[in-house]
Amino acid sequence: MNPAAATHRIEIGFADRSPDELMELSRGRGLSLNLPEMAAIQKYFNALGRDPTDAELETLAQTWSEHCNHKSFRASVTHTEKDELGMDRCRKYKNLLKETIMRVTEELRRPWCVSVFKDNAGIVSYDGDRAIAFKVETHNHPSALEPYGGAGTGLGGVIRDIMGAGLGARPIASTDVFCFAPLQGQKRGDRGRRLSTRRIFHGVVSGVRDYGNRMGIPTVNGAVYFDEDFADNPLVFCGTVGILPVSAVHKEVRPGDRIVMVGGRVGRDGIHGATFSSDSLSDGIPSSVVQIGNPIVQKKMMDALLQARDRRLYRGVTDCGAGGLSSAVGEMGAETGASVSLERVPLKYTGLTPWEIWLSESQERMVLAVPPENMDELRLLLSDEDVECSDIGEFTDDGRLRVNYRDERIVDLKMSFLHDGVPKRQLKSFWSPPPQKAFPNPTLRALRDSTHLQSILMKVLAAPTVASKEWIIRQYDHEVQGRTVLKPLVGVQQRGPGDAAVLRGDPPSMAGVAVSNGLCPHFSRWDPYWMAASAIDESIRNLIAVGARLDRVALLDNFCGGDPQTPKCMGELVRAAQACYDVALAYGTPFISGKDSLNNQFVDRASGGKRSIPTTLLVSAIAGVDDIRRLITMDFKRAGNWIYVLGTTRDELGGSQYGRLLNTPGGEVPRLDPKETIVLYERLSEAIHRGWVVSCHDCSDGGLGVALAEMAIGGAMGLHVDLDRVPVSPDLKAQERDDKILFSESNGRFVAEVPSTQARRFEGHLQGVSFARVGQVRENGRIDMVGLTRGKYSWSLRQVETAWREGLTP
Amino acid sequence: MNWRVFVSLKPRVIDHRGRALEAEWRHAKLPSLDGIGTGQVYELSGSGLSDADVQRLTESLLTDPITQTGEIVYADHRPTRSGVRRVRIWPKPGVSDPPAETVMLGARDLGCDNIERVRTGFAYEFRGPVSRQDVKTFCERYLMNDLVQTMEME
Repeated sequence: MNPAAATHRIEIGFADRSPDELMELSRGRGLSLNLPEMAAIQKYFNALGRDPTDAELETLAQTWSEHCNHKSFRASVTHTEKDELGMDRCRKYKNLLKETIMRVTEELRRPWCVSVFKDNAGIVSYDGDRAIAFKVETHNHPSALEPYGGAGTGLGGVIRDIMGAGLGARPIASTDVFCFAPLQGQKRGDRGRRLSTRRIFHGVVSGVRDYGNRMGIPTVNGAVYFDEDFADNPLVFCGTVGILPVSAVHKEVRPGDRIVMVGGRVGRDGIHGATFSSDSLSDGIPSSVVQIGNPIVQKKMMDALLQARDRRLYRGVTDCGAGGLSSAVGEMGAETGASVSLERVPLKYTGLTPWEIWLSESQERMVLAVPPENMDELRLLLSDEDVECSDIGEFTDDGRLRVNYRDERIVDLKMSFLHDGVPKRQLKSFWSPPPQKAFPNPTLRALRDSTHLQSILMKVLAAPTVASKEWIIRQYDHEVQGRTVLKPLVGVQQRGPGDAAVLRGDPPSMAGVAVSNGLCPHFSRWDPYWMAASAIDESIRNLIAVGARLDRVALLDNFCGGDPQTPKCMGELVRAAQACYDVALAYGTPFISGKDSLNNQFVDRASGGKRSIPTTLLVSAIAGVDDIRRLITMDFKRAGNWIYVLGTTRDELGGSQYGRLLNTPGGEVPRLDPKETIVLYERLSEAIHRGWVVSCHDCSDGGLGVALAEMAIGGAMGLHVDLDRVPVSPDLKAQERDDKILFSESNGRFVAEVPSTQARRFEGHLQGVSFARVGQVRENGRIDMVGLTRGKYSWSLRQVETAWREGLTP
Repeated sequence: MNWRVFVSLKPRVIDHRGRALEAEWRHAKLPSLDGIGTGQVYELSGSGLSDADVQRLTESLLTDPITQTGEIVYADHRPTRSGVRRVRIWPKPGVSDPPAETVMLGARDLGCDNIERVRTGFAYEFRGPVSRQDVKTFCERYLMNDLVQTMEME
């Protein structure tokens, strides 16, 4: 006999519990609900005159979790920060998300934003009757505990988000961005029973590789960032781009539609995954939160569902992600109602209690809303494709979520309470700028010694964050499906780091889509506002550099931070969110989707100590491209072509790779003036479109020095540059510091290569923006520079390439 | 009825994963050893499963005949080899085992309906004069994740 048969309906005594007892229950069951939330549940059931069942309590905890509900970003926040004069300034947000990130999109009202902030992914049209769905997710906690399974299912989950966007999109590309502690010389990574950074790093890369490759989805873009701040909480961002007909963008659910679960069977894996993400990492995590993926099952499901979509066999679809069936059915039936019979759910093994079946996060499952008359055809199609499906209930019109197991009702909740009953959080946030310190001057001897700068460039190129990621990229299949026009590695030997990946849409159209990312967590300790502004600018620069246009760019935000209940952590989030509003509005680039993963702090139970990551924003950018044949790559093309630097270099070494190499906390963090950069970006896009620019690369980590070196490596060519000609701010000009020109990470800058025959047109077109011709591409295999005081620097290309390619060893 | 099939690379086929683990062993500054071999282990069970079934599955499904060889052991009666310490790492009960699900499907496609349960794991051989404790330390640090896996050592 199934032991679950004896435990169908278990009521949890709730009515008379004191606040302390409510919190003890929340902690004991791993619900991650706070006292106001537990009290709201108590009040709801007291009004009904009964206690909640275990399944009801778990359903509410999942739906109200930080992961599913974004309580902190939707909270009412009283934000206080010190201005430059040390005076407190206070601002109140009724709903941080709606008043910052979502507000940009509302105000911009771009006609090509087809579906934003309401589906599993943001959807934009790019080619008349075709649309692109894009979503990026985090899978931080699971990847810290079981890197291979955690990262694999992170990617698998976001692929299902795309399969559940609209009536289902075909995934055409994936992106991955990771933040780890340094692999060498780590200080904190090997403690206790948790895994070493090295193992997490290898496991995460393998997990993404195996899931993406086996599903036949190219991994085309990404970044890897190393800093000691991520020793306890590595970050794993996985994104997927999908393509779908505009006619399949909108979904609906009608009463009477059958609730059909498709794909894998249900086991105990991933139980409490959503509530687990609402808590800090600590020792003593149960193995049940870990999920192991099976990409082959998902591949079969994807192929079958795309056929079912095209035959219009279902009206609505969503993925079974965090919270399992409870979230999927709860979300789909939010406007109607739903009734589920759990005994119809196919199990991997016996022994699961009803609430475990209901909440399990077993992977590779989707839920469909199917008109009854289509059931036979759907079953036949899925059977032909060797995909399991189960009719587990129906959508109703009573506005209630009802779940039965055999003959007993284990959940009976009003949909309105489930989705709108969570008490709004009232949070306080605070931010004050860190004490200002000047960036230190190297010793006079070092400044006079040209070998100082020569060795510094080699060290910056070899820094793991800057160094070539070829070792990782080559493990990913970035060619499968045959759409990848601009690949992650470009140039004559395919070694140069591409700024953005570009994928072709559906032939015969020459339209495509460009994908990039921006990530600058190193600026967060200075000021999260400029961290976020820089991340947005970097993601947009990467698109502009390949030839995309600013007026077609859409953004995705993925926030990671510490405990939002802490005013300091919340203050960092508020500043970053405010920057998202200010900068995205100025650029006219709407946000179309986003996610937050908070509570990235480690609690050492032995010592009680807490350590948080810096507030980190990954901005993923996407832009429709009308003609993929007009795009360019970043590698130098021909000796004799002119080299231009576009944008102004400022004294902004705070948080830079150079500053981190010198281990200094001083300097100004890069700022951004969109009024200046917008003009530059628009003119540069036009110049690329007209064919005047043959290569272009943005200046980001490591600054101008690294950008020039990477272009030389990509093209296997030398260069000669006069640093005195680089456009700089007046204060920097006065300092005569070659190191600041080479390594400042000021925003809004590019290096462009222009044939001499096009130089006059190019220069005429750029009149009015900050730019200068600084040198020439050479064939001599050397990188030569002349400094401000006429000092000469010279590196052999081979030497530079070796440092860059060997900086990140497996 | 319960069998284990140990799949390893044939002699002269380079064991790249083993080489990488040898580098990790040196990185861990453990006493030197002669080498590390890697492979997979499949545990097959079923009341009607016969020796012939297991032999057929091993040849047709579990091994690549060009590069791999399979050793079939009834229950866990595998003869020990002197100078070799063997370790197997299994998923804990309840943790998903997708390769096992694939083996089940493959076995049924081959007409072997007697198979009832499959479990898959990783097999390692540590060759040379190494202590049990060193092998255990290495496995815990580099090869297994005790959150989701268990270790067996001969």
